Amino acid sequence: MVPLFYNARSLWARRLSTGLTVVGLGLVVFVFAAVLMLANGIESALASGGDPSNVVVLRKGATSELVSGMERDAVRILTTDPQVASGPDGTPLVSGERVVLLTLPSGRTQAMNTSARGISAESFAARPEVQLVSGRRPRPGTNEVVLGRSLVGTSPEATLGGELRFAQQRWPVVGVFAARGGAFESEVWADALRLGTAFGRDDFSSAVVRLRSPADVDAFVKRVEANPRFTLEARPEPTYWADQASGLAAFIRVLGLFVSFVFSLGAVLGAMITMYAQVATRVAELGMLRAVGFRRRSVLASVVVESAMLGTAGGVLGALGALATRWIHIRTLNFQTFAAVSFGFSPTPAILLGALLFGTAMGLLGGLLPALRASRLSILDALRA
Amino acid sequence: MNYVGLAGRDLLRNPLRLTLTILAGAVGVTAFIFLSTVVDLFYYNARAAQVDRLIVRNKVSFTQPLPLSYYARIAALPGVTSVTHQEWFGGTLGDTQKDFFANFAIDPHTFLDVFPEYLVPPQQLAAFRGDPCGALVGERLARRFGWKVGDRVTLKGQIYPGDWTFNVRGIYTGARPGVDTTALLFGYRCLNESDRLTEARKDQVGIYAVRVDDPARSAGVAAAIDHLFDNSPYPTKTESEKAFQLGFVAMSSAIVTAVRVVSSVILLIILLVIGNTLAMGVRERTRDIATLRAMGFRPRTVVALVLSESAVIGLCSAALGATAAPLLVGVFAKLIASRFGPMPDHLTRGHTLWVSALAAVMVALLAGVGPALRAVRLPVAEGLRKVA
Repeated sequence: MVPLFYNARSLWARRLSTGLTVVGLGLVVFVFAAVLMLANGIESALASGGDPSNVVVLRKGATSELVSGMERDAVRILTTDPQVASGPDGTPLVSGERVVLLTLPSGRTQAMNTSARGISAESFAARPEVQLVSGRRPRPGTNEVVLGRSLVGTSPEATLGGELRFAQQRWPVVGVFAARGGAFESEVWADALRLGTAFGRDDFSSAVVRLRSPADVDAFVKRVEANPRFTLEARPEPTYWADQASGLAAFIRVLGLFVSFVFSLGAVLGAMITMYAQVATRVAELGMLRAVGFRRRSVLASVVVESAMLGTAGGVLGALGALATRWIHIRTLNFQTFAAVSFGFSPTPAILLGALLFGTAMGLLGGLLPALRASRLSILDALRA
Repeated sequence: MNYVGLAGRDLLRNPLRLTLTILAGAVGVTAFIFLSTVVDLFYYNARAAQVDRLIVRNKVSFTQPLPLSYYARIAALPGVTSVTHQEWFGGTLGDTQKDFFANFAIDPHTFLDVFPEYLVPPQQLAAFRGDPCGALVGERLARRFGWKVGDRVTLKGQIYPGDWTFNVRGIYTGARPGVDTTALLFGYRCLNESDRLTEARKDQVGIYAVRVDDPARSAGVAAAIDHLFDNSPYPTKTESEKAFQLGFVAMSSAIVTAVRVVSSVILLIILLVIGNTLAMGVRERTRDIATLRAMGFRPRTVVALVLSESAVIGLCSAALGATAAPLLVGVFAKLIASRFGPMPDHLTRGHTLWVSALAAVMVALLAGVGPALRAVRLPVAEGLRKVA
């Protein structure tokens, strides 16, 4: 084997073209990793809005809470199920909720659709992951609202102590809550009855039911669908939120992987150009290696390894660049729910490892043909060059 | 030998490298055009918007309804030539949104007055108007599901529970390429007079579309409409169709920005690849260039030679990329069609192709500047001395 040291030295000797190639490969890896992190960010933002013990009940056939509707009586019937968990005061944790869309003014883009959730007394108890960060809960029967953490500051009055205006009414903000980065953090929570009245709807859109344990979920779902007293369907809360994210995440993923694929073709060609040039300018050197006894396959391996080094360097650069995006937060429209959702780039070890491997693979592919040429040189011609 | 011959020889000095560079450039151009088309897609509806049309929606949000009784009051305003209303139905073919397409309840008698770009043969239009549950289907949608006039289509309501069956009475086409022919439109009466609708939900519409006689007065008419309903339980927000559509784009601006950033990264990569190649070429030719200069050629001739090389690479890449891009866009449109509805024909605009090709050539020229300067800055004696 030709020592790796030799390859590292020879890359360093041609700093300019090595640097340009590494930067090119790095940019490709950057886009690849950033896209995966973004799709992962949306999925985790929406999918973490759900507790495995919770079930969302919607009208049969409704794909989201926004288009669903159910009678108040149905919510009452759900509370009689034996597997429903009880709150600290003994009331069953079934919460009828009304979800509406409102348009709040926002900074530079003039308006943003925001989900408002009308909550019942049990809404907080049924969702342990929702915790107040500051302020207090809205009092029942008033127009007081609490804001999800990622809404704070997105609209001029969206702060603790501010006052939102919609549906021709004033809604003072009395608290801010967090929900482990989930979709609830992009919502406004208000009293269900007040919100329903303001929007001229007196039914609920959905009910959240907390069960005693995640193991009861499947049986409960079946019971709801078999119950002849209503036409409702139940879905585990994490599944429900994952479905709400699927369109946007798929769009970003398809778009991103498309671009990464096309990009990587370009980058492989770039690496190939560099390596062909390396081989061409080093013909005499390579001939020397052969003359002192290195085998053809050693020369082949040496060139491939050198190219893989280029690729790995690009991979490291790109992955580091992508990691730097984790401080960026994105707020955009989810086409599926027509409401805004906030999310970030969330890196996982698998994505970073994938980025490194992607970079190395591009280097390997780019080095293959030049390496073949290098190994096929005849010693005599090479030394004469 | 003339300059063209000389530049040609320089270019073909390393045919393999030239081919690889052009291919890499073409790949970049393809990706750039592809992403520009995706951005265009976001603006598609806004581009099709007419200047003389206003959209009236509920001020709270566009999912809140407006009363049907507003129709006459809006129609009576000065400057308004015609009004129509529509309601997002949101039905799906199966239980899931897998085969998504837009479907609206419209007013059969006024819709075409406000949206004259939708073309329906007169007999089909008459049949549609005569059937309360008749439907008009866009030609692309009809092609997608193989629907013909006379077919019955059953949708599952998401917002309006139950199965709803419509009779296809006509296939509409667009008067110009930008018109969306992927929607299903059906008569509002079918919805409003159904006994499945609760009393509270009757006589409500989603939005009104208003045509004004003079686009210059549209701001005034919009203000007049909003003023009319200011103190009612259903206040309105009226804006031009374009502003209405741009509102959605603005809400997706983070994605649009991300796509634009990636587009710039692509140009940067093309710059790096072509710059790298040219730099290598110039380095190898140091002695040739020094010889040229020793023979009395001006530095600017040498610069021109290097730049013409990069221009040729840029042009070839642009041409190849522009040929390949529409194919890629087509594959992408197919992949996302099941979720976001069918995409319009001819997604890639000629304009996008030209702009991208131009950008590629500019970037290539820019990439050539560094190596060209390097070539002329080197003292002639040193260049001649240099081996390899």
